[in-house]
Amino acid sequence: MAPPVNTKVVIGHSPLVTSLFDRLPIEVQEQIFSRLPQRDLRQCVSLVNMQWHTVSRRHLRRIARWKTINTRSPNNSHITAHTLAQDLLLYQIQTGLVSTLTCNFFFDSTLETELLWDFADL
Amino acid sequence: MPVTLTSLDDVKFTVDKDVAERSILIKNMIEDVGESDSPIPLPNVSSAVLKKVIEYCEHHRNDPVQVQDETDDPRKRSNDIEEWDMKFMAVDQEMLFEIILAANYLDIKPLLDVGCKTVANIIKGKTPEEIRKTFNIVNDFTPEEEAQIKKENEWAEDR
Repeated sequence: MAPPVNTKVVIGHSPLVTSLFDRLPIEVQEQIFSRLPQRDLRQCVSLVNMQWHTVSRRHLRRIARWKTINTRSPNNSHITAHTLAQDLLLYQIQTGLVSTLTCNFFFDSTLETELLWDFADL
Repeated sequence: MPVTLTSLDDVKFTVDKDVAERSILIKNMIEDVGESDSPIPLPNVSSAVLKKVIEYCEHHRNDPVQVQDETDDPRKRSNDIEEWDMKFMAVDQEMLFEIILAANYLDIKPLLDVGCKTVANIIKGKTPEEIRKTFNIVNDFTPEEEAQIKKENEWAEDR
């Protein structure tokens, strides 16, 4: 077994990133997570949060903060969080890090529809 | 015609061309360079990993070449690994990830697929704590950081 790593990780609540995963290119990480059933993705908080760590935390946090303050009810954390998830995905689509096909896999049809609407507005 | 491959640690492996050409990278190199006795350097793959990769390619030498399909179903599965492949992938975690990296570098899609499926199967059905234990991950968040992250991600919790 690999030695313990000193990586900031809280699986289930934060980026799913380990030293081993870190060594894999983004597209390979994506392939691994695309094999997981939805319930396991939820358990791991999905690819979105993993990418959050890997890609550009500062940029994504800025989007998230802006959205939280400006667009949706701050009292409804569920909606806000969904919005955040959408933003993360949109960022990744724009930067070519995640394919739209994979995005479709990760989200239910409602969110998927919202995502497509938002994407169309860009 | 045999092809000689040289690993990162300068170990030479001589294999049949059709075995070597399971790797699209090597296939393209052979096509570009033409017939040659010169060894093909693979500076990203150690001999231990290359030996495993060759074992896989030899076993699958007669398989039809998997064509990259952009219409591939994104709802991929991980429960369709052949028995031989499952045994082949029964290695320690370090080797498993090295094989995945080598398959990606050498462009051997079926091997990459089976590697990704194997890792997905390791994650499947586990709790966060079990996953942490499996991958030997140290939780080095401060309690404040952890609380903040839990709050940010509470939408993902099962309710």
